[in-house]
Amino acid sequence: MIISVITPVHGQTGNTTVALTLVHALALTQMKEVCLTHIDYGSQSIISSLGVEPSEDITRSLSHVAKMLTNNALKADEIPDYAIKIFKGLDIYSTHKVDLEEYEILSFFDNLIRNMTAYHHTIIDVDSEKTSNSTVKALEVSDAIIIPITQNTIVIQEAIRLKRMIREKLEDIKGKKKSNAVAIYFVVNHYRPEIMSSAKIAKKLGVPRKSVLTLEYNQWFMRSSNNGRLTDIFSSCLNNDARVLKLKFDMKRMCKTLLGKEFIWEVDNKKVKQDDLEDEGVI
Amino acid sequence: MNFILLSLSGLIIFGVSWSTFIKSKRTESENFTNNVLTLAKLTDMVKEDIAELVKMDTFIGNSELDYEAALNRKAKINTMLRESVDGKDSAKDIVLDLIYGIVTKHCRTESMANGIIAFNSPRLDVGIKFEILMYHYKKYLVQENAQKPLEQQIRDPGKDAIKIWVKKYDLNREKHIIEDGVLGSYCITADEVH
Repeated sequence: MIISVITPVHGQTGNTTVALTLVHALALTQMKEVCLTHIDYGSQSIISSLGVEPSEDITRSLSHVAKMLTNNALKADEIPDYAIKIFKGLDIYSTHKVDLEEYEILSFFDNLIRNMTAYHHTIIDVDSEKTSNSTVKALEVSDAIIIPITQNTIVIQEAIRLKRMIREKLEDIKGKKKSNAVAIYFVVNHYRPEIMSSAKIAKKLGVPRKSVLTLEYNQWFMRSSNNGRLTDIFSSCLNNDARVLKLKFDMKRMCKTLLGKEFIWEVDNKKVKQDDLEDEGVI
Repeated sequence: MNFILLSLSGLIIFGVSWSTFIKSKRTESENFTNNVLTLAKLTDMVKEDIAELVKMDTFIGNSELDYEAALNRKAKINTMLRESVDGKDSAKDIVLDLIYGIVTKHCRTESMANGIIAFNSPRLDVGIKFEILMYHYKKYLVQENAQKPLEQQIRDPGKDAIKIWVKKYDLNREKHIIEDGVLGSYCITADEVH
């Protein structure tokens, strides 16, 4: 399954946070191989949230992978060797080197997505311009689309416009019938029920209530993201840490809504760290 | 900047191949003792870096997973180097990109690249000019191909760049240049490249 996460207002709704929450939820509880990639390779937000040092390893640069894919020198099962390994089951595709022209990125992206058969789920953090060719390419290959929003009225209005734009683009590319098969969900980031309930947000958006997911505001979550320890906070919540327990329910609902019948809930204890985060100063 | 570095990479690729494997244990380099970077020095640096890349005992990573992936990547590079020596075009393309990555690491600014080969000089060697011309022309053909509908697109549009270029500018006409213009011949002159 390919899922694109696209924001209505660039830099304000926590696109990367939502994408990271989703990949962790899928990798840690659904026993799936998951990968996360993004379009704006100049952006360091993914690797900084996970505390990964930007590597200058030229054997792993995406331009090198692009060349190999174009020249058919890389088999689909070899692609994971070029990813940044966060833990077993979660790979990130990013790069320190952005020497690719737009048409090269497009061709690479197309190649990469078509060859991502080593993964059950591929999440694309669409951090490029809404109307760019790369964004359209991401929408074209997606089975589901997530629009992160906040409870801000302007953001909600922009999200309505974005949804309409996505539907139009998909109809142009795939035709009406196929485009309707692509589900669009909204994730309310930094959700606080006292500001506006999710039911009211769904009403404003003009979508069924089940299409609106939430990611409740949590100070520990924000703090660990800033410290580059986001993976640890997910482990912590799956270990039933009371301070981030609501995050667990949000993750569960996210997986259940997206996967439907495929949904299971089995926390992988081998992947989930048992460390006491308090001792390490994260919480 | 990109085409300058790519031209540099192109010149270096011929110097880097089989010898890289054999000399993979070189440890000391005198290239860094002198601040002036020459083409010969840059070639040596590229050779050293590639040797370092394929060495099995150099690895920086966090986990066993990373280690296994790094080993596989190294094995892939070894295969590509071997195949590029055997003349496989796709392998050459990949090795060229690898060399490009190393050249950009050592040659971070345009002035550094110009210090090695005077790309900004009006008396730039016609051979290098031709390489730059072909690089851009191939790129143009690839872009043009990408804009066509999928069913009309051809595989590797840059491959026949020289053929298309010669035909487009009618460069394959008979010329009376050699043997005091008595005998007709087919050639591309430096003036035509300029």
